[in-house]
Amino acid sequence: MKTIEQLRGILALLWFDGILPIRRSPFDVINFILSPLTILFFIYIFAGPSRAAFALGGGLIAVIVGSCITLETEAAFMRIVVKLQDMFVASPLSPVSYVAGLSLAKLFSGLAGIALFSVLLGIYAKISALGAVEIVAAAVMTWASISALGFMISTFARDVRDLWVYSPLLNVALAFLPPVFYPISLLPQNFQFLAYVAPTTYPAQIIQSATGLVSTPLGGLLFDYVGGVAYALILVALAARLAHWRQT
Amino acid sequence: MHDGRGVLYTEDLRKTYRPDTRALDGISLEVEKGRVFGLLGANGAGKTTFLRIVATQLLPSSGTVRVLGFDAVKEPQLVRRRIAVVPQEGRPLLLQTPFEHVVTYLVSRGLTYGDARRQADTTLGALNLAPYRDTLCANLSGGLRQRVLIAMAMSSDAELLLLDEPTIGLDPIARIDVWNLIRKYVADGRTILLTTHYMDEAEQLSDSVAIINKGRLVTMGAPSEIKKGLSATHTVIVRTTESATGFERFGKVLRAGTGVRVLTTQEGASDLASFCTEKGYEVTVRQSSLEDVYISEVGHIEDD
Repeated sequence: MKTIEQLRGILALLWFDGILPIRRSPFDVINFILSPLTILFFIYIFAGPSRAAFALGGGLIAVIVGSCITLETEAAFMRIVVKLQDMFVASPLSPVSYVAGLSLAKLFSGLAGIALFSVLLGIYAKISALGAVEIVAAAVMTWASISALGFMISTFARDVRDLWVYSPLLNVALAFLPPVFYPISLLPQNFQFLAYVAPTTYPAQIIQSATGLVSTPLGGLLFDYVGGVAYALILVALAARLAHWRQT
Repeated sequence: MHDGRGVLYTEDLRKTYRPDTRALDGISLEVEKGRVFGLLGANGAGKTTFLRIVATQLLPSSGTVRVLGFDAVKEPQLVRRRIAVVPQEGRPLLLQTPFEHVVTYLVSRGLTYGDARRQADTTLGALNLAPYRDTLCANLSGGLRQRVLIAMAMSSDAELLLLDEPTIGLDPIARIDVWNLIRKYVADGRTILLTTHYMDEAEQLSDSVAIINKGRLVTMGAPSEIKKGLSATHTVIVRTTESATGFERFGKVLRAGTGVRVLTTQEGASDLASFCTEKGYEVTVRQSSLEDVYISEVGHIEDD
């Protein structure tokens, strides 16, 4: 199938599994906004307005993580429960297009939160044109790595219920524990390296730098970009490998 | 018998799941174009494994599988363009409509949005789903939901349609509706491979059937030919709670459910009916069916 046809397939899945459900059940979007807003509220109360700006960038990352990690249960649901994946396997749509379509659909459910935190960032942080591009790059890195991770986990599930426990757990481990809502410098120096185990640390640092909240030397920024892109590429490659349609 | 030119051709197809579960054990068969081919077997006989291999969803352990002239193991992309599948116990998403399901499926198969919309309306009309075109699947009955999946697959105009137990759980009217859809589909020269464990369904729908048991092909052919192979023309079903004996002299005795089933000739059936009447057993006499062949063959295999 030609590239344009694969792209149409991706957009069809975005419409089918992302736009249509949100149109019919619009309150679902609140789901991914509530937790980041709560964190923002407490940081504002306890740390003051200057620290609250960290929670805006963190909120953006957390909304993307929260919506994209649900690909884990969604892909398993399509494969195990409704078995629509079997219908797409026996069609010219490629595995990568199928996963991309589903992951965009999940991202769509976080779109309201992404818009909210982007606007708040625009209002309360000083962002240059280059900074805006950096924020978009960080958001794309987060979307790619978290979607890939979610899909990888889904391939191991025998029952969707196996996965119910993982989404909230991963959400905390990826969006709230690492230095996403706060600067990495607040962690004890000896433990800072541990933060880099989370793929969200890199894009969060990029956003903190792009919004002028932290001053990162060029070498550090380069490390964040290389680390974030490498992490995303590795996870996407692993997901693409596991997304091979055919079981052995 | 196999010339390799059929829509589907398999030779010595084997599949063993780890650690040592043999699901298919040397299946060789050929399906001709424009036919409904029924694959019969009990739960766990290997029907779904066979279908998933043909659908390029599962790799065989060994053997040959050619679909529409292409090697399903080495050329899965070429096969996938030409087939469509309705999975066992699949269901549509509840917050979407039948129209949206069919359009999405068609666009994902390469059609433009405009062509997909037109094709979806045509298919939904042909499958009597037009009145439910914009109804959320949450508000459809089980039979209509199943028909949505069949509409998705049939809208693709695939040369080979693979239906895995398409009528499981449906009421008798909904089953007949699905049967009619299947007949219409093959009338245009397309082919359907159908798995089922409903014998009446296989007998009503299939031009050819294959019975598999424990991964092995037991018998294959047109239902009428298979029945001829029985040598018995009549089946006598005797319902008795006693451990009844003495039926062997009338024909082949099969234990089935709460009674005894005797495959015999017309004359034998008459003699057995008289014998049972004397003994006070409840008895039913009818012509032998595919179900009798199935019980006879599968029972025989199990006795081995």
